[in-house]
Amino acid sequence: MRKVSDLKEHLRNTKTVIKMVNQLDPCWLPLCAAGHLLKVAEGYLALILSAYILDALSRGGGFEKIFKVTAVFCGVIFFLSNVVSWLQLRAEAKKAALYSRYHALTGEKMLSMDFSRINSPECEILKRRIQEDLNWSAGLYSVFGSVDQILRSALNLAGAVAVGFPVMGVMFASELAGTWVTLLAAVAVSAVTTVLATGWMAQFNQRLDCFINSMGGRAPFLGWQFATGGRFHYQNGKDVRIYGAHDLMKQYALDNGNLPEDLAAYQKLSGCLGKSQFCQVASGQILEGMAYIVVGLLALAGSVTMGNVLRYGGCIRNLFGELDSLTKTIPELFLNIQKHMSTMELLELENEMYKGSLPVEKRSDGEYRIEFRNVSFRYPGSEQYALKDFSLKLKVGERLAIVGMNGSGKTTMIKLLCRLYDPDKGEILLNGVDIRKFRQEEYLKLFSVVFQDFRLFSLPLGENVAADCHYDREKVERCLWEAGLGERLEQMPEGLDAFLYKDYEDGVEISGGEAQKIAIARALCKDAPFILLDEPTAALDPISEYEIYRGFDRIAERTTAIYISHRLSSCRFCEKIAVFHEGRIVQTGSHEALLKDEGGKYLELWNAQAQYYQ
Amino acid sequence: MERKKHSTVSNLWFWGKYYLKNEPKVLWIFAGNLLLYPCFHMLALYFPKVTLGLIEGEAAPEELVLVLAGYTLVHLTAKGISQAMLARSDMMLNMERQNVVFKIFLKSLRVNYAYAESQEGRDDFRKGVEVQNKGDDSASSRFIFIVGGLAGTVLTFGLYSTVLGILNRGMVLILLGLAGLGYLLDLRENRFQNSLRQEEAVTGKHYNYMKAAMGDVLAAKDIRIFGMGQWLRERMDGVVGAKEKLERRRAVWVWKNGLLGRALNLVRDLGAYAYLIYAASQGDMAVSDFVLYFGAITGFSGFVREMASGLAGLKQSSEDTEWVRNYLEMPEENVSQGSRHVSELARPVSIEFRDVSFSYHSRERRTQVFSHLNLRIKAGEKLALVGANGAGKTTLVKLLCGFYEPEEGGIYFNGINAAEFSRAQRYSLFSVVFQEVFFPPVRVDESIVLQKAACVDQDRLREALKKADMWDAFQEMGITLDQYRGNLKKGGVELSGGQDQRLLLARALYQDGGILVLDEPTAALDPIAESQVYDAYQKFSDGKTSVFISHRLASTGFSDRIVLLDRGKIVEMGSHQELMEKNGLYAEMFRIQSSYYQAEQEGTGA
Repeated sequence: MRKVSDLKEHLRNTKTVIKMVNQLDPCWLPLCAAGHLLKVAEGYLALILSAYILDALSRGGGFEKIFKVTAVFCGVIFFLSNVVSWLQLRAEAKKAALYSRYHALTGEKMLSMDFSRINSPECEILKRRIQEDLNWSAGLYSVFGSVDQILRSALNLAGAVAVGFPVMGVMFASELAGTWVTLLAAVAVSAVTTVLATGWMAQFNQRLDCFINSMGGRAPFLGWQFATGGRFHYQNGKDVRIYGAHDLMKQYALDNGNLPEDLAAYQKLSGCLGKSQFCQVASGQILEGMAYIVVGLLALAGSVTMGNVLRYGGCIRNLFGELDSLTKTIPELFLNIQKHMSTMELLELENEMYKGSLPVEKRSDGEYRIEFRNVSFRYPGSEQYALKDFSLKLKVGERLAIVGMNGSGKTTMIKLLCRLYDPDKGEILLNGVDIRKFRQEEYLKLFSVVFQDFRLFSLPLGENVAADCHYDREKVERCLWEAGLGERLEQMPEGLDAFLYKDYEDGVEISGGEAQKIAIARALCKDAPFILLDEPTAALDPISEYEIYRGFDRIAERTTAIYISHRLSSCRFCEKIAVFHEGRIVQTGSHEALLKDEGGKYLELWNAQAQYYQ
Repeated sequence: MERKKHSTVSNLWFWGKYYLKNEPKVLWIFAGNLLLYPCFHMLALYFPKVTLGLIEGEAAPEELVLVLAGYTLVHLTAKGISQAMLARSDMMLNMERQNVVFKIFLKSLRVNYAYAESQEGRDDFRKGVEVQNKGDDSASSRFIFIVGGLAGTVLTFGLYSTVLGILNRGMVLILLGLAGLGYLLDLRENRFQNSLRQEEAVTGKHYNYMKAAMGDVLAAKDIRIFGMGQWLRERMDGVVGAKEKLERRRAVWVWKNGLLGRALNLVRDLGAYAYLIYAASQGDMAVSDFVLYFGAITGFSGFVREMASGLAGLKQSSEDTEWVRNYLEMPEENVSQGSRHVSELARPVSIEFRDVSFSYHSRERRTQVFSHLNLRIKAGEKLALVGANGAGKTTLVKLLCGFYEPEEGGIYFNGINAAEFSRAQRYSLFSVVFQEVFFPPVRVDESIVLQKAACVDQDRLREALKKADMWDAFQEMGITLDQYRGNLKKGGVELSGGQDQRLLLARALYQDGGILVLDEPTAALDPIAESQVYDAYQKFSDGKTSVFISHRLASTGFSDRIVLLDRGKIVEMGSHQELMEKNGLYAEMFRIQSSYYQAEQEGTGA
């Protein structure tokens, strides 16, 4: 959390967050304000009623008349309480939806952010800051809470002035010095306690900040990251058991969060909070005592009736009490708002990638040509070139296999082709035009990719294949059959509507191989002129692997297919094989031609594998 | 696992014991607060009466100032101390609530692995973390808040009843009756809220899943290529819409239910006013007493409501506590195991599966994997385990390592039943390289050997790293062993897949277990790295009994014996040569896989 001391900045931040809340639901704030307004009115009506009854009783009024007025008051209060309850419940319901919408924004932002940005260190740091900021508060509910309190205080304050202002005249008119002395003394003492309370609170927050930071600084603490699955998968439990890592895990997941020096600091800071609380209570009680002493003195002097002791006492207490509480709740709101600035910062991140507006020509003949021209690329933050001075031409209908060692730039090439990143130097052309100039969504329609680390969601099978809520069932089913999942599909009672895994609904469990087939079906279903397979068969057993390759051989007839594989055997049926090495293409040609190139990289790779099958 | 049910009192005792052991101050604070709470409530109740009494009695101004100032001082002290203590305990509770989460996590590493891995075990774990991840509403915090609050409320309620009882016993009964009706309405509301909870949990689960899915960095590539943004947004909108509908329904219901309660309040207030105004107008009651009693009457039902909601909250907290408690109190896997030491075993170690049966149990069904399986692995033998997905290879390895218990039969090391070793001892017999690469973001040396830095034998680690060809690589890259891995800290060490594989080898070397198990470790490597890793493992496995699992048959070349599993049965067994001659399933698989390579052999041979 950064320190913000400037009031202007605080106000600006508050405006930003409130604006965002209003944008998500324009009804919440008005509902909330109306609820508080009527609630305050209800309270003052009750106060005026008791004042009336007491005065009427001291005047010796008759039961009947007093009770009639009382009944009318009670009826109005009853009516108001029903309206208030309705407004408050509606506001509460809106809060829940608002909260969900608001906290989904960061995820939604991820959907539209430049891919290169998502993986960048600055985005990682920002996300971690958001996590830290929200970990020690109740997210948007903290802001709701502060806004609620401030609205209530402000309206109550206004009510106190409206109902209690005659007492000012009385005080000026009466010659009692004691009332003024009491008032000033109490306000002074209460101000001092408030200052103390605020000071302790500030110290508390500052120390809490230090505490959170030092926990990460002195010794890394991974409790939450392990427990909530960010850095630990249940399967890692096998390693923990075999290698007896329990002590190590305990150190990072528990002990580092409970270091003696940290705990001592924690004790101290909770001491600050305690003192601050005491001072807050004290200032409130002092103001209340003062209010009744002042009015009591006036009453003894005969300037105020018994009933008005209650009325004015209540008003003076509310007036100063709410002033006092505003001095606390406003900074609190600022503090709570500040915890959302990291979220705002993320939401405001602008995409840097240039995105053109040229439409992609729809060609019925599928005549698309792709060319990489002298492309160089380094991953952000890396010094090594992933691709260097790289050139490649792709024609439609071609089948290209890419082989090479890990880190030779195979996957990078695909990422550049799909504009997940832009090249640092050189350009990629589609039919002779720089791909940056095309409309991004249209351009991406040209490609289907099955990445090595593809992801499926725990949503219905059919939606996963179609990547959409609404889809052509027949086509999806056909693609699943083509990918070799047809028989499994027939076994599922819910068919395409079966949820995958158990994370969302209690769905069907699928094996790694089946998941891969679904990913392939997804790629087929997109009907893109280019299909790219980045090692899609790593988790498959030999027979499934064979089936998929054979299937693809047939399917790929319609399209341009690029295969990346470690298994050279799977590349043999491609007419063209490109061998990547250290970010460049070092060899191209058919399998037979490449094998003849003695001392070539391909032969080396081939031999490494073929030796096992001889 | 069978789930135990505990009573609310028993769960209260559970947390009592927990805090007594870990943070006893929390308990003292709540006990102290119990005395202060009724104290300042009574002071607040009497304050207007005292003020008006002084005016009625026409006290001297100095007296009024002194009495009220003194009164205020006592009041602020009692309330201030109470609040300050609560703030401090709040901080302690927050710390403990997190520690409970971490303890649940650590426990998940010590329970039976088969359970930890099962859907049920993962659900139980998730649930335990979830109920502790709700801030002040977490099981461990809420229980204490509610019990403390409830006790204070009961005491205060007693005092209020006494005050009113002095005035009129009948009135206390009527008020109790009205409060009872209000309580019934509250109960009704609680029942309604509970009935929503199931639905709420489902939408909550959906919401969290969708939120995570949209923000999933690893899915970002697929999301962009397939334009899934629209799909996920639409799903998310659906989930939030469902949430909104639920909340609206709740609001309408609660308002309607509250209508009667508010009407009861109206009746109560009118009755109280009528009674008190009548008494005062007859001159039976001083004006200051009027204020006191009216305050007591309206306050009275507030306390009854508080008690009602406290009791309901207690029930909910008790249910939440069950998740935490059942998980934390689960027996550790070491229990009921023998006490033999693996150092008794002469190396290399022989392995025997004798008549082993095993099946998976899920809530709805049981799937038999092995039925009376027999397999001997000779001391020092290199065994390759092959078969299609789902043939039982991984299950066999899990049985071997002790992650699963055979239902029938036993596993023997050098003829000694595995059950005679303590679990930790049995684990230490193995060096296993699993498919899932696990390097926690801790110090480099710690992440390799999975021990605390202080316990790492640096010489042994250096040797292991040298053998795994990583020592020089570290030197070249300028990586020291006290740096941290991962991107948690600036300058964290990040390595390639091939380098990680070699570190896994170093981990296995460091452990120096008598039995080496490789569970398909090279799937993600390029041919040259893969070949290097095979070579390294082959060197390392000399003089050890080893079991290799692989989808690809390439690794079978340097195995002494190959076991082909198919649907839990050993269908073929023998050397590569023998199995090829047998011309069975293995030969078929080998041919499919190597068809292209084979074709090449023929091609060049011609």
